[in-house]
Amino acid sequence: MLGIETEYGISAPERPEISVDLLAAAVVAHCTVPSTGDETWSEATFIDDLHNRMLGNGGRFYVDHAHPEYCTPETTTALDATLYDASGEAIVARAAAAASEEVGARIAIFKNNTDAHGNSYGTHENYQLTRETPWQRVVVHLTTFLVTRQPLVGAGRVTPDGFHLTQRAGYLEALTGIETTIRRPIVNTRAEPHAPRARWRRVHVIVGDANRSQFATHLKLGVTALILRAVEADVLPDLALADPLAALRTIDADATCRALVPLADGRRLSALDVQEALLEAVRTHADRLAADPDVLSDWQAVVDDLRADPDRCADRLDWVAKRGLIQAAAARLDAGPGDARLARLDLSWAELGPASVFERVRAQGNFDLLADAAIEAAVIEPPSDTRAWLRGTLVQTLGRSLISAGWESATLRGSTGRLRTIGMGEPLNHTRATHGDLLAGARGADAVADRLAR
Amino acid sequence: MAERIRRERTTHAVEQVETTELTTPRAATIDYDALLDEIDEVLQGNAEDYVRSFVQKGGQ
Repeated sequence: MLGIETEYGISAPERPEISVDLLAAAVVAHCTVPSTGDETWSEATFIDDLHNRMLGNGGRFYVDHAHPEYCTPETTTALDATLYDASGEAIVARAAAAASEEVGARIAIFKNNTDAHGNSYGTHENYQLTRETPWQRVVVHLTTFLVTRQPLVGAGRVTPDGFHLTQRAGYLEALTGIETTIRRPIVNTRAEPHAPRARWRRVHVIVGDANRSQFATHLKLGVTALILRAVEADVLPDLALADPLAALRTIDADATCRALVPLADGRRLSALDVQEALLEAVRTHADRLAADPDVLSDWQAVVDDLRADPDRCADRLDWVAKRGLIQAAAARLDAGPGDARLARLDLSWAELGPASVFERVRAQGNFDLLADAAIEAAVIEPPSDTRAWLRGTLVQTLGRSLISAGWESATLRGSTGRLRTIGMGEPLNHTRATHGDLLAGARGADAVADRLAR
Repeated sequence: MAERIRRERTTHAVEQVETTELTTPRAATIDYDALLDEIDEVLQGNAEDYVRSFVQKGGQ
């Protein structure tokens, strides 16, 4: 089980004096899809609920650190998580359009992780992992994997020092730790499983970029989930890095993908060598790990193409396509690395909507994996096979009798005013398969709560 | 569960010429020059102000 959350960048380009706090609050307040906190919502709720919404698709849309943040519902496959991430783009963009009218200024939304002033904000992946997997084993393998996955999944970044493969590597300062806003670690130790603690961990990955490419998002989520299953099964070779933070920076700055980094055992391998070794180990145990053949073949193709010539991935991977564009623009404009016009292209790449340069690139490439109709459906409907199904169903059907909703519970108010809390601790329970028949035809909070209490 | 759209990868007929120098990017499919023509207005505006006015609060 997995999900992904994105803190979006935000600005009013024609009105830079308006604070980002106000803009972020206005965007979430103008959510246009079914959610808690909308006009049918209970008068008994707090004003803050306008800025912290559970959605009818089972996800969450809220203000965090002056950013509009969207978190996908819990999903069982990387493709579903990619689908709900794409739906999140639509949800945030539409809320921004509605808020723009209210604020009286065009609000632009950016799917990136940096500004030009040294601030960074996150795109966090979440993966469920069994509790009995020793944490130290997770740390060792996950560190190596995350450092060397950068050429596969980086979103690319224009800096005065030149082009980097990722948005985030420059902001990571520690190996492990609990922080996400200072001294950011490669492996985050946050222990909030949002599930029965005795059985599950939630691995919270904070090093990743916000990708525009659906292909890259899917590759990132699919391969990382697979690696974590391989860690659970303990089938990965020892590829511990001698100095993970140094390797992170080396690989981040190396568009040839050929730089060698030292391993703890003295070998020197490239990021692609390491990925190839991990891929081989996973492929050997593909059946046991229930590996998705699409993920394996995408992973292999990208490693092969990057090895032959990174530009072969310009049709699928963000950083490669972005770097090609930046190089072409630099040549045409006779611009050096610090030229603001190149930084502006990087910003335009991240902007949601038809004005983005990414839309022109997308039209020529193979970045998209999902049909527009499927994305549109997932703006409204929850996934069927996790507890997000029940959460989304309650949000869509109960209106003001749903007093509060969270990842693990929901509180309903019955006709007599009695509050009844529904626990949804187990993420793979409360699905359409387990509870669809039970709730069919149930109208109102009393009926829903009675049936769920059976 | 979501389904992946299936389509042939668009691959322009890139000749299998070995590129030894990486000075000119060789995209598999993207025509950057045509693209730059389309986005001329992005390149001509006041990029310095635009980039500087994009100030975010640090987040997670």
